[in-house]
Amino acid sequence: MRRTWELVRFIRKNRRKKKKKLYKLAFGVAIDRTISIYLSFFIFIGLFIIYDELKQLQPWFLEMETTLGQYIHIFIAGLFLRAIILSFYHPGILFTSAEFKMITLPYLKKHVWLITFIETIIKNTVIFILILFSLILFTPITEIFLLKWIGLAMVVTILLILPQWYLFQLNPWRRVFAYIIAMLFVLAIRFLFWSVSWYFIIGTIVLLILINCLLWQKHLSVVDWMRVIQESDTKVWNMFFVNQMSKMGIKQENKPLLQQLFRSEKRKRPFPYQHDTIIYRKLWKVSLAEEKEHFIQAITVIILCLVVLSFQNIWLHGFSMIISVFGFNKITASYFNAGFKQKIVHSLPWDMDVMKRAFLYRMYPILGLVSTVAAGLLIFHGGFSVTVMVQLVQYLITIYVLLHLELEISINKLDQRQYHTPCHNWLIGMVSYVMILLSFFIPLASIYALFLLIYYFHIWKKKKM
Amino acid sequence: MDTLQFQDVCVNIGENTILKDVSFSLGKGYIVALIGHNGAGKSTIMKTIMGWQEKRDGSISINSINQDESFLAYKKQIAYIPEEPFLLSELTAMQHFQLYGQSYGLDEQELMEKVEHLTKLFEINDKLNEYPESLSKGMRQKVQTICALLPEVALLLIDEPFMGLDIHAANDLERLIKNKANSGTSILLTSHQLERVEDLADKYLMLHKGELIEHGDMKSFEKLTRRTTE
Repeated sequence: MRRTWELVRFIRKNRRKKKKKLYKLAFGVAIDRTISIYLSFFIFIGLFIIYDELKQLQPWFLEMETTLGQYIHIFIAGLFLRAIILSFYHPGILFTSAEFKMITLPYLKKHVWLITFIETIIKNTVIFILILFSLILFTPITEIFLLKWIGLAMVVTILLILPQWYLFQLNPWRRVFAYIIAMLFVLAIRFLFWSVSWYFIIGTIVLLILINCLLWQKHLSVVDWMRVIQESDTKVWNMFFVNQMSKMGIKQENKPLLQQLFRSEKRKRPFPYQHDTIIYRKLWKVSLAEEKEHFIQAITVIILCLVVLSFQNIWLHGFSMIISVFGFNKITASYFNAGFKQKIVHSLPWDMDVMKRAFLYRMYPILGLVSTVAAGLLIFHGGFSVTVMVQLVQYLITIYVLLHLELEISINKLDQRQYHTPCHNWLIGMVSYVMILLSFFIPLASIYALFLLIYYFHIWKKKKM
Repeated sequence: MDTLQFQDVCVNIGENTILKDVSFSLGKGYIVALIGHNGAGKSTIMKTIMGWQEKRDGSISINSINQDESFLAYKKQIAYIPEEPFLLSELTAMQHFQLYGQSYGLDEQELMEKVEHLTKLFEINDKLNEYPESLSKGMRQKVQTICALLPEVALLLIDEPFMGLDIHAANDLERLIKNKANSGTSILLTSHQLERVEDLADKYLMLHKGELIEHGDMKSFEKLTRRTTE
C-alpha cells in the first residue's frame, strides 16, 4: 500500500507540473504583465465592492436563514438528485488511464482505487471548508447557519461518492430505478420525522452510511473500466481556460442521457424512403447537436441584443432588428456550411434542394423564436397598430428572403471554387437593413418588403427554369 | 475519353509539398493501383480527388466535369471506400444504405435488391438494424464498403480495400470490383497487399515522396518486382 501511495503521489506531482505548464502557456497567450497588474487591482477592488454590497443585504440574509430552515429536505433531495444525474456522465472518483496503467504493473487494483477514493473525500472536504471560510469571511450569514448547511452538504456529498460510482456502472434504466428508490426513502424519512428536522437529517445520514456499507462489498465487482477511464481522463485534462486559449476543446463522446435511455426500436427502423428530406433532417440534427452549445450561445446573444437595445431608444431598437436579421442569417449560413464538412456527408453527392429544405426544417423553429421575440418587442413598444403590423411583416419577409439568399450564396460557393457574391446581393442586403431602420421613422419604408418579395420570386422562378 | 483526368496537381500542407505536379488519367473500366511507401502521397491523391484536400495547382475532372467549376455535378460521379469506416453512430446499417441510396438517386426497389444481395454476400444481413458501435470493426468496414458499392458511378475510389476484411469477404470484394470495372466503372485503389493488387489491377502508378516516378501495365510491374527480388 505504501509503494502504491508513493507512486500515486509521484503521478499527481507530475500531473500538477504539466497542468501548471499548460496554464502558464495559456496565461502567456491571454495576458501580459501590465494586464495582470491591472486585472489583480480590479479584482481586489471588485471584491471590496461585493463585500460592501453584501453587508447592506444583512437583514435579507437573516430573513433568508429563518425561511430556508424548513426546506432542508429539498436541499438533501437536491444533493441526491445531483449525484444521480452526475452518475450518467461521471463516476465521481477520478480513475484515469495513469491509475489504470498502475494496475497493469505490480500494484493492486483495490489499493489504487482506495487511494483515489480517499483523494476524492479529501478534495471534497477541502473544497467545502474553503467555501465555509470564504462565506464566513465575505458574507454577513451567521456562522451557525453556514456550519449546519455546509457541514450537511459536505457529509451527504461524501457519503454519495460511493453510490455515484456504483450507479455509473449500471445501465441507464437501473440508474433511474435506483433514483426513484432513493427519493422514496428520503421522502419516507421526511414524513416519519415531519416535525423534527434533526431526526430527518440523522435518518438520512444513517441511511447513506448503510448504503455505503452495502456497496463497499461490491465496489470493484462490476466496473466499466473503459468508460471510467475515458470520463476521468476527460475531466482531468479538460481545462476550460487552456481550451479557450488553444482553441482545442476535448469533446465528450458520451451520448446524452435521453439518447442513452430512449434509443428505441422505433429509431432503428428504416426511414420512409419516399420522404426525400427525412434522412437529411437526421443528418442536420446530428450536425447541429455537435455545435449545440455555440449555437445556443449565439441565438441567446441575438435575443438579448434585441431585448436590451429595444428598451434604450428608437434608433437602437432599429439597429437591434438589423443585428438580429444579420446575425441570425450569418450564423445559420455558417452552420449550413459546417454540416458539409462532416466526413460522411462530404463523401456523398449533394442534392442541394433537398439538403437545404431539410436544413430549414431544423432552422425554422429557431427563426420562429427570434421572430416572435422581435414581434413581441415591436408590439410592446408600438402597440397594436396597422403600421406596427406592416413593420412586422417587413421584418419577417426580410429575415426570410435574406436567409434564402445567404444559403444560395453558400451553395454557390460550395459548387464553384471561384464564386464571388454578385454586387446586387450585397446591395439587396444593405438596402433591406436601411429600410428596417427607416421604417421606425417613416412607416412607408415598410412597403419595400413588397419589392423584396417580388425580387425573391423572380430569382426563385429563374432558378426553377 | 478518359474518365478521370488528374493534371499537374500540386498539394501543399503548410510548408511541405505533398504532391508535386502529379498527372495521370484513368480510362473507362480500368482498375488502377496507386503504389508507394507510407507517406508517398497515395491517400493525398484520394483526398484531393474527393475534395477534402485543397490543391495549390492543377485541375481534376471526371467525364470532363471540372472539380473547381462544378463540384456538385462532379461529386455525383464518385463513390469512395475509405480505409477507416466513417459511419454515423446515430444511424443503423440499413439507414446508412438508405442515405447512400437516396444521395445517389437510387429508387427504393433497386436499393432493396442491391442491399439484400450485398448484405447476404458479406454475411451481415442479420445486422441491418444495428448501430455501428454494436458491430465489429470488420463488419463496420463491410457496411461502409456496401454503401459505396450501391451506386453505379463513373469512378470508384478505394483506400486499402481489403483492410479489416476476412479472407472470404476480401475475395468477394475482389470479384465485385472486377464486375464493377467490367460494367464501365473506373477504379482507383491503394493497397499494401501487392499480391492481391497484382491480380486485380490493370495498371499501376508508383509514387515516391509526392512524385509519380513510374507507371504502366500491372504485368510489367510484376516483372519488375520479380527482377528486383531475384
